[in-house]
Amino acid sequence: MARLLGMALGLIGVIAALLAVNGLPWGDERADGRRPDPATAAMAASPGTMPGLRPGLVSDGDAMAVMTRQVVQSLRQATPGPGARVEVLARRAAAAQPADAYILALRTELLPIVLDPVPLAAALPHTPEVILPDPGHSPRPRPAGDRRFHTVSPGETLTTIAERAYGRASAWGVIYAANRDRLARPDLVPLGTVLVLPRLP
Amino acid sequence: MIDLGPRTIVIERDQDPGATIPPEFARTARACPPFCIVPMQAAPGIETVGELELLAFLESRVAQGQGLLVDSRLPEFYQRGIIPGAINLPFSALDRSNPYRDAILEALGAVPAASGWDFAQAQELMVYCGGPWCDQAPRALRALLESGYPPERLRYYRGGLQDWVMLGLTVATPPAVN
Repeated sequence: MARLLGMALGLIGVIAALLAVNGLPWGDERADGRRPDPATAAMAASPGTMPGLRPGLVSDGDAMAVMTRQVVQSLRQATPGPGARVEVLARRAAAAQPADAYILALRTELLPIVLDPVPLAAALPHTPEVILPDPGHSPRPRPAGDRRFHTVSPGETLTTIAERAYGRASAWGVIYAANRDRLARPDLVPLGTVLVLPRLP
Repeated sequence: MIDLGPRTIVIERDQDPGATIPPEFARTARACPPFCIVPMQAAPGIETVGELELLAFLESRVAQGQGLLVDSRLPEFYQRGIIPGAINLPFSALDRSNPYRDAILEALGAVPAASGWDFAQAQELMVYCGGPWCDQAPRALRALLESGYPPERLRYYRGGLQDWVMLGLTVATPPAVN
């Protein structure tokens, strides 16, 4: 039972981490308090338009514009939005069995976020025991500077991440220790890895 | 059977021992140009693949939301039948002469960067067209390369629909676009 609970928390946590990275798929305000980027917001406001295809710029008789619009529409349908990525990540996490430190950090991360349990449960077909947060719980914006997750960008190392997160490069070991389940070596940090940044002891 | 998230596709090999190739793929004397035999490699760095690699790509990359199988022919040909799971990305829409090409790159997951595009999160693409006598997929791939798409995120199924039907594999009707 404890193991199941751990798994369930881990799964929810992965989703929380994802939301922290990508923003709430159904909300206007991102979990970290930032607004969605203007291009996305504009697209949501006027679904018929797309960047580079501004009204007035394109006449309906422009065959290339019509074809491009069709292509972009079908690409939008075929490529996953944040919600679909939640599902993919959740499935991967179900197979991976994350480490305890990760589960705990994710659990903390999850608390401020209200999740809609229906799509979430649908995304987790193999884990009916998953524990969902109380939907009545109201979201609170996370305080600035309290981000506990970090997605590895090009050129970053554990040292540079530690420098930015904790102000000292020597804290890289703390990050490595908390992320042993996803890092084989401290000097090999795959691009796009979501790292837990634990509180310093 | 492959679960692509919102939909499931089934790819089978026709088990009828008397089956023959569909008439529209029976012709052998297509005029060159435009229907010239294409080289094995579309462009340096882009892997050319066969049917089994295509199936593996659908199962591993497309099903995970990290890749797209791309039919690079024009929409009227795409409508007549496709490899199951393929989306239509006509070669001409990727050409630099298309003033709206950026919208396509963005929809593929590329992010505008200080100089050009950042393709770190972009979809992996496997591109095909009519067959080894069709240069639309190679043209699409070269256009993508020219836009900055990393070659390791691109693959070329040279056999195209011609080899696909020759092997009796399932041809699908494209999904409707809302």
